[in-house]
Amino acid sequence: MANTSSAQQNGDWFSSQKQYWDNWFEQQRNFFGAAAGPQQGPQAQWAELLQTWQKALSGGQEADKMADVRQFQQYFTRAGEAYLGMLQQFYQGTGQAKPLNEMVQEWIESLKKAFAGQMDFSGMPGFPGMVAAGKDPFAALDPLNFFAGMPGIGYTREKQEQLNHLYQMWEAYQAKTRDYAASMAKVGLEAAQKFQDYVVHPPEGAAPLTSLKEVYAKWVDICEDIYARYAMTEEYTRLYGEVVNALMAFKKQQNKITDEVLDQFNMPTRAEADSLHKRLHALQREVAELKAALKPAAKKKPVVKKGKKK
Amino acid sequence: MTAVQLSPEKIFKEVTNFNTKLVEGIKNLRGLGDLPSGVTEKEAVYSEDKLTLYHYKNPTGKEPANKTPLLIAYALVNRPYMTDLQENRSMIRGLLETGQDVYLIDWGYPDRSDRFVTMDDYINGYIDRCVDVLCERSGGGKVNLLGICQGGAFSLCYAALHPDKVRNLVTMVTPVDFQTEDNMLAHWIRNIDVDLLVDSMGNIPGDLMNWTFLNLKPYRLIAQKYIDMVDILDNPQQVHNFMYMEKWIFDSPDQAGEAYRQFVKEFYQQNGLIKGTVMLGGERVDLGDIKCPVLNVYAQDDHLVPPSASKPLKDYVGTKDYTELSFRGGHIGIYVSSSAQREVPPSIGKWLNKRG
Repeated sequence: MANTSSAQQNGDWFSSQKQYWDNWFEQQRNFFGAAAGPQQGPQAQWAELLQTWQKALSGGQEADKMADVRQFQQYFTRAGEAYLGMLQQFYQGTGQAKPLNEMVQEWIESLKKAFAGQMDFSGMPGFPGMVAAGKDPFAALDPLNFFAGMPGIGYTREKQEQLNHLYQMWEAYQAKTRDYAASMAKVGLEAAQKFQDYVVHPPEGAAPLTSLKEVYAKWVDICEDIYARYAMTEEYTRLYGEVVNALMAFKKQQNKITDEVLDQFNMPTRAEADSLHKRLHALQREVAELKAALKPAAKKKPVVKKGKKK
Repeated sequence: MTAVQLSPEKIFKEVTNFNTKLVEGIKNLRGLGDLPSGVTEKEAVYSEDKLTLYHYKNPTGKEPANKTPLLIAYALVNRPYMTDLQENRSMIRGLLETGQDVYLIDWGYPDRSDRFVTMDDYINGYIDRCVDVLCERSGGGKVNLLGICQGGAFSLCYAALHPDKVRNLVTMVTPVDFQTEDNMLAHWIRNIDVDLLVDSMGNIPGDLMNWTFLNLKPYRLIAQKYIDMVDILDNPQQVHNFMYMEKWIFDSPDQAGEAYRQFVKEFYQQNGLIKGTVMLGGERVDLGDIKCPVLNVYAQDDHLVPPSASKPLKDYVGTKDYTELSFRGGHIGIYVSSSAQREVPPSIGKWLNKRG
């Protein structure tokens, strides 16, 4: 095993490892034809692959310029990085002749650290529909946060109040997001602990994990198992509802203010478009009902037509 | 004794292999070309708003042995070409081979002009008018109706409200009891203010639906799935198959706001389908009014519509001719896996042919 390797073997190992990564980077540079510097690791290559893929799928559109695609790509990249990070960690650990148990332990500790520091809506990409709001929806509306917490006065009082309301809703959403992220971090920590227990004290008869892929798969199984149980609890259901409802309350208020801005520019608003659609829809239903009412009479027509043809 | 047993050689080999496949994979991904949406020849026979009604042609040229047209009503979520994904993965073809005269409703992609389309519009409007078109074309007064997932719930409502127009009803992976203990979606939706959601969003974005579905199994569906994908990246055919599925999974129409509001509130939050509280077009939907033969097909490993959500149907329909077909697989596997091709369409076809 690795911990019995001699210094000479270690030297060979480092040498082969360096050669391997050099080849790997060279291969990548040749393939992409881009300035992939030697400082880039496999994680960077993973990101490159995904970007290429997204561009291919978007039919030549510049997917990386689309905010929602970019957000998902970032998450997607992180997901791959977790695995590649594991590969690299074990790979390097092996080269340093670290005992296997130590390497596993280090990996688990890095997972724990990652979860403990996780404060970003479970690491998911931005909630769909939030893209338009951006990371800081107040940058344009109220760059100095002037309205936050201030009661409105004067003839623009109502507008100030609305902005104030919007700001409070954003803060409420941020608070709910933090609660949700904290609960998901707990799930991650519990999974890391359970995985550690599994590694040190595997259940009787459990097949050994003989590849990094199997180690990763076991890790995912444990995460899913703990998440699935937690996601069915009252606590999770409440948190999930709260974060979605808080976001929607913010978005509704945002829509209202956006409509008012549009109106000031003499532009059609969403509320106006909705009214038109509503009326059109009611009209369509009426027409459909009238058509249906006329159907019995219409059904008789072919008989008349038939008679005419004859 | 540790559960992890690795050697430096193995680690080296595994890492090398992974990285090589990653590089090779880009070539295959770049060479993918267009991915069609459905493979069997079809003809549009009716359209209205965003809806198109398609009639499928049997590749063998044979006339359908079963003269009662079979109308497939797919869910509003995702696109119906899941039933006709590839030549060797097509429920449509399987049904054509059993002699069915197959029609399918493609709901299209609702936009903001469809914001106020209701469930009544979908069921008593669109589906009913499609049924009328089929009756006129076939010269008969009834159709066989096959509803998939949410389309199955719609089909149940339709069959209950229009029993005179449905000869046989097939439901596939269809939720009936929306509040079973193992239904994760039902748990999550409990505390969502659906009115606020629809009032804020208008239509519900397809991306939002996907985001929710991915979160049912986030570690597997967002991370592991793509790590596993690297294993097949050096095989062009497998990459092709993978991408067909990937395209379908994320080809997600937005949901018309009002229909979504009603479906989530009355079906999920109030469990109205089995409680008999759903109202459509001023009429109460009573599953007991379904007297025609019913075949209920469910998937044993379905995480979106667990069997426990589908199987209660037998306790609520009014028919004496009720059959269940249990498939060993998941919500998607029931359409695309090779065992599904062997088992599911032939069984449905046989069941329908026996009943005309």
